[in-house]
Amino acid sequence: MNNESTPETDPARILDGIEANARQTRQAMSPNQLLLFSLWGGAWVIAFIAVFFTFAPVASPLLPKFLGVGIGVLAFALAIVISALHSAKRGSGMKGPSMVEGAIYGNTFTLGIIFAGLLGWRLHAAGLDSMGLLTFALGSLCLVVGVLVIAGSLIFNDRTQLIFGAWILVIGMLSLTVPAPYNLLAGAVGGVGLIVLGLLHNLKPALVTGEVVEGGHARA
Amino acid sequence: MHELDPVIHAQARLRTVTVLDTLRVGDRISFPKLQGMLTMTSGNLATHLRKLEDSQYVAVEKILEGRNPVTYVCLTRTGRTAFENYKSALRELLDPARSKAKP
Repeated sequence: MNNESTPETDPARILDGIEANARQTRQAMSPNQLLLFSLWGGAWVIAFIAVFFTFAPVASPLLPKFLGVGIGVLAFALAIVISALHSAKRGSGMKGPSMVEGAIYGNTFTLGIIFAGLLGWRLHAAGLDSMGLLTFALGSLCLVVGVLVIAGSLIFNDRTQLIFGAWILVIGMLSLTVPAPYNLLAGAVGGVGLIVLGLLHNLKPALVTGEVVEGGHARA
Repeated sequence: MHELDPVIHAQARLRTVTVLDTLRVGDRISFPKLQGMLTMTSGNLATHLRKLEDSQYVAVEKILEGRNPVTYVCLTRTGRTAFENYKSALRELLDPARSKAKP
């Protein structure tokens, strides 16, 4: 649709133009899924591989603890900062219930992760060893993220979020089937899955986008 | 058959209403953001918004953010209904028989 003053006269073209314009607008106002999935997928792969190699090989770990954990913390911190800045930019210039809901939803992630972190700290203080803590850390991270993302998929009626949340829960369950530190490799596989999801979202959107419930309340 | 609403049918206003219709009920968009999305000059956009406001299709609200006045815009209930009717009228033009069959 162009900006000329002469109105279009073909109804089919007008309707196509409306549809295309609405789609572009929704994309422009929503976070870039490829960016976010690649960013977080990359962070998961780097962080979990780095921490894994602070324990493996068992006889002589490849990385010292401070370096592996430092790389992991840095990867997650970068992902948090970049995604927060990106989401804030996309949401700027908007007011209303969607912004309030988005803020509550986003802050619930933070609270959930802090809650899991404090619980892990208490368990460690009560005698849970490093291997037990690794199992708890990945399992609780996947539980918090997976459940919240699936809840979000229903709030926003967004199939991509449903696939994302379900994948994270599957990875969490997979991580519990193997002993630490090998559970961390499940986290790395989870990260690869997020990158693939981001690519599919852009290259084959019919596979991973759309509504969770057809005709449900689309609120994105 | 519905007549095509002349307020919406002008291309610049049709684009404006289409963008505003993607917002959820209750959500508002700032004038600069809307202008950026539509790639219109501020004067052009203000003129079209005034026309839409005169027809009660959009609500324009000026608020202070810190010390800066910011204008927010949203589609009213009347505007949403008019846009739905506009799209129905287009579909009816494409397929009159199907539209007549609808209750």
